[in-house]
Amino acid sequence: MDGLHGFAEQAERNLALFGHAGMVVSVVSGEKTVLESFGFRDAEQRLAPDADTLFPIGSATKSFTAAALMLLSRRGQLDIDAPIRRYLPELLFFDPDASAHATARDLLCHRTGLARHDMLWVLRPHITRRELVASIRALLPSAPFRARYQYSNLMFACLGRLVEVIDGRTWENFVRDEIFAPLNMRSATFNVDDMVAYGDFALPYVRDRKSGALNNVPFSRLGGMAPAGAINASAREMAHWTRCLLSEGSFDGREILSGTREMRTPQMPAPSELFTFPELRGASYALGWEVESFRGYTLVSHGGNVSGGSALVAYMPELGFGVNVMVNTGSSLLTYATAYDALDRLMGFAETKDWGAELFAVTDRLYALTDAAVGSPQAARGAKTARAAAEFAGLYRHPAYGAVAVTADGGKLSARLGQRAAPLENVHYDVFAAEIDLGYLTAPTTLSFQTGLDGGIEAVELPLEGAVAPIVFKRDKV
Amino acid sequence: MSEQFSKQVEEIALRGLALMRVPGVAVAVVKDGETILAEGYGLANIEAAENMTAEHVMPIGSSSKAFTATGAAMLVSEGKLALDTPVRAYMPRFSLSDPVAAQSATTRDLLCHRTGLPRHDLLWITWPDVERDELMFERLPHLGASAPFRSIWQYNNHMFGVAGRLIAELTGKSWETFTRERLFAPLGMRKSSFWQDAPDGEQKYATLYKEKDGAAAPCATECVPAVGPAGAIRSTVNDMARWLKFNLARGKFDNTELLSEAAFAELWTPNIPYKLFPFEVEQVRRIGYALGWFVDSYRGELRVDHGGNVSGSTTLVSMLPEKNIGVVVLTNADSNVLTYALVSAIQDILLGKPNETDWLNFYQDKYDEMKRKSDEDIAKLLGEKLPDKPATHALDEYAGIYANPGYGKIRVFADAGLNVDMHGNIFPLEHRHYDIFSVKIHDVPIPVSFKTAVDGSIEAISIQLELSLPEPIVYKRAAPAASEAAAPEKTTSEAAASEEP
Repeated sequence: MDGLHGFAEQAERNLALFGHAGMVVSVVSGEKTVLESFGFRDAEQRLAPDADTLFPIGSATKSFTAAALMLLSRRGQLDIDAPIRRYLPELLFFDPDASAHATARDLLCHRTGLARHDMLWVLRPHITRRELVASIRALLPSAPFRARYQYSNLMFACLGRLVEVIDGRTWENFVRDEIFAPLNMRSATFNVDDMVAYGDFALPYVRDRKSGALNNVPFSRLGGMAPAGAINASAREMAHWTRCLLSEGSFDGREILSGTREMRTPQMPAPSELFTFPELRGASYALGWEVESFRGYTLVSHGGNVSGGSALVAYMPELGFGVNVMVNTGSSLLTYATAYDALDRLMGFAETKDWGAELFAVTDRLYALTDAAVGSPQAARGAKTARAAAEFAGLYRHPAYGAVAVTADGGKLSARLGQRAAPLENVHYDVFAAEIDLGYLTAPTTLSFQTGLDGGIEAVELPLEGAVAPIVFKRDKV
Repeated sequence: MSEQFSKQVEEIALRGLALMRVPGVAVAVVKDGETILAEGYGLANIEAAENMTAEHVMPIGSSSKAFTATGAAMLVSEGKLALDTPVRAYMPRFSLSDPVAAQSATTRDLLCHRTGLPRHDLLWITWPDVERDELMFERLPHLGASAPFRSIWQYNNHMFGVAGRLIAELTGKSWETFTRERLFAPLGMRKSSFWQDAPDGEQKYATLYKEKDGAAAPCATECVPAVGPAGAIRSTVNDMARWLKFNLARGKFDNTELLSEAAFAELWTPNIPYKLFPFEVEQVRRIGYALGWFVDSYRGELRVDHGGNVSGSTTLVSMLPEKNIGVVVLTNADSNVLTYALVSAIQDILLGKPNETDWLNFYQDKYDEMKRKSDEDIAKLLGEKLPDKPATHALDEYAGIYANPGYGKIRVFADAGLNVDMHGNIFPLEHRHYDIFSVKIHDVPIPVSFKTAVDGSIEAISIQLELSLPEPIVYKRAAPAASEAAAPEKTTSEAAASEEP
């Protein structure tokens, strides 16, 4: 691919500029594929990745889940425009309109009215897909049904469950048998254990904002949430996926996927919160894919972000180009810089824009968005609590977010929030601060305990989803 | 640049008029706050050989929708209206047949065509004197939906009528008065008016044309005040240049802010993907329908536009906001694509890409193809006529008054064959076979079927007035055949919309 001249050098410079650990790239143009790798898959042992090293693709997994549903649709087993309750009656929403009318399409394009509610699966790391589906009805909507685009990982987990109830196989087995196998994606995995067993994988890192140091962090283990973001794959095998998409579903002459055009037909306007560049116009969400215009041509893509890993999977159907970028450092915009640079070169716009510098400059905005998403500590303004620690102890429950166990040990309060127990610091009155451990970072939150008519503590409120009122956990009667 | 630019535009315009058989076109171009061109080309009246000018008044059709949306945004700016609050909260009489849509539809839903209701255009087209309140509150609730609420984009004129009625509900002024006072007056649009207004002797009106037997024949445009907020405005390109300046300044005119930046921004924020034409344009990537405006990417540039199409007039208002460029094109010919071709060509010149694409031939080819396909589809509507299968009843047995709760009352009468009187429009019914007839409305032959009751009498007539619905519109017989002579309907001499609500 002559157009790619200078690409690897630019990518190497961008990796140095961002200070991330390692990166693998596959660029597809027509029949040709170029594979590149940079930096380290293991920064401590200074091991370089190659085209076969497994990296998480994060939420780009959603396009595989969408493809699975399109396959079921082609087989006549699913009508993506029929109410989903026909297939999955246990999926109910708080909003009766959504319960009655929500379709697979609505879930695939994030318009059911539900906001992220990502803390649900953080607080319930072992939740099963079946339990996830059953928990949805207790989540308050933050927009009317179909009115607005609100990105939802939970809905993709429910779609994974939909595959299972229709087909009988697990989502993982369905995607492996029906998509990975015919695409010759033999090394791709659906969970961390299988990736580690494979041996050649990238360790996850987060770059310290202040010092710039790379810190090894735990892997994201998505479990029940896997259909929203758990796939790990190599640059080489992701190129197979890209080739299949560019040929509208066929691979090595065999028809594998269907509905590739439908999957990239925009459904909801979805402008980026993160950046606006005049080269990119009209971002919309389709079905498991984002669609926009890049320098006047259609760009279909999906980003991914998990603990210590970032990815961007993109293709341009009209021009026959595709690019996959995986970086083993979390919250990285290097994926966009690398992909846009590759596409620019393929389109004949080499060196017209320094995407590395442009996207690096947006990093602060990314941090601000991340901070806004996780919340900020409450400033102390009033008197400390008048209660003894033991008065707060107990088990508090929410029908979707599960249970929060508050314990008082030697006068020290702590609350079980997800994987670990977090110490509670009294801010003022009956309001306590705590940190939720997300693995790669901690998110500050508050626990605001509520007094019942009888004077005892009856509930605790946590602002776990900014788009709705604080989540109320009611105390079990003792 | 100016003189050369004028020559370039003139050359393309004249070529376009000839190629597309359009009598006349008026164009205004605004760049960086200045009108850099305002011209007419061809004829405003063929018979009188009167030249088209920038001062000729023509209907702008659906380009009026942006005025209605802007009016609503002004009320948002004043805190009187929230786009995402159900319309019912402001106007409890509002209803739709889909109960979900009825209780949940918001002003945003009305203004971006996502209520689930298909066009139902033949309702208002065949009922010019229906009063706005009757149409909005008594008829609309009975019209069938063809898609689930908010699921897809379906262009709908009635919902802009509702939005206009909502403006009246909130301000106490008719949509027309509000638009005149709040937009025409501050923008100095002195030549702009509404289709029901009596002609003003001071103004020059272009004669409107429709092709008939291969030649341009003068025609009248629609005048249905009830749905005025969807398309009633008539204007000149000079006046429309002021509208462009106001829009390109994001809601300011002569340094006066007519609505807040936040409210204005809503007007251009895409709400739902759309598809307007059956063909794709390589240089265009559709983004979404905003509020009374389409938003796309043209050669990678953000573009905001809206066309208009009424009998005898086709128009387009188009802006490249980030280049501070606005173009308006008004033509006095029915259904043509000179508007899109000329606007694209002018935008190309201003983007420094003159003659990069032959837009005139591109759009004319697409139009011809579209027309051919549409003629084929129309030919298929009726299917085969069976030979020698006469009507089952005597013609006067079909006669009578029939009523549909949405489409109102119609009268079938026998007079040299069967005819149907739809709100004063008389259409002959052509017999096909048995109890199946057809009626030609706006050159489209529509199947009609009569239904025989158990007692042997004719009890209903079904007419396929909205093709996107699976079922035809069924009118049930309201009176026995003997009352054939009865008046079909009360007629309102004065249209409700010209009065204050």
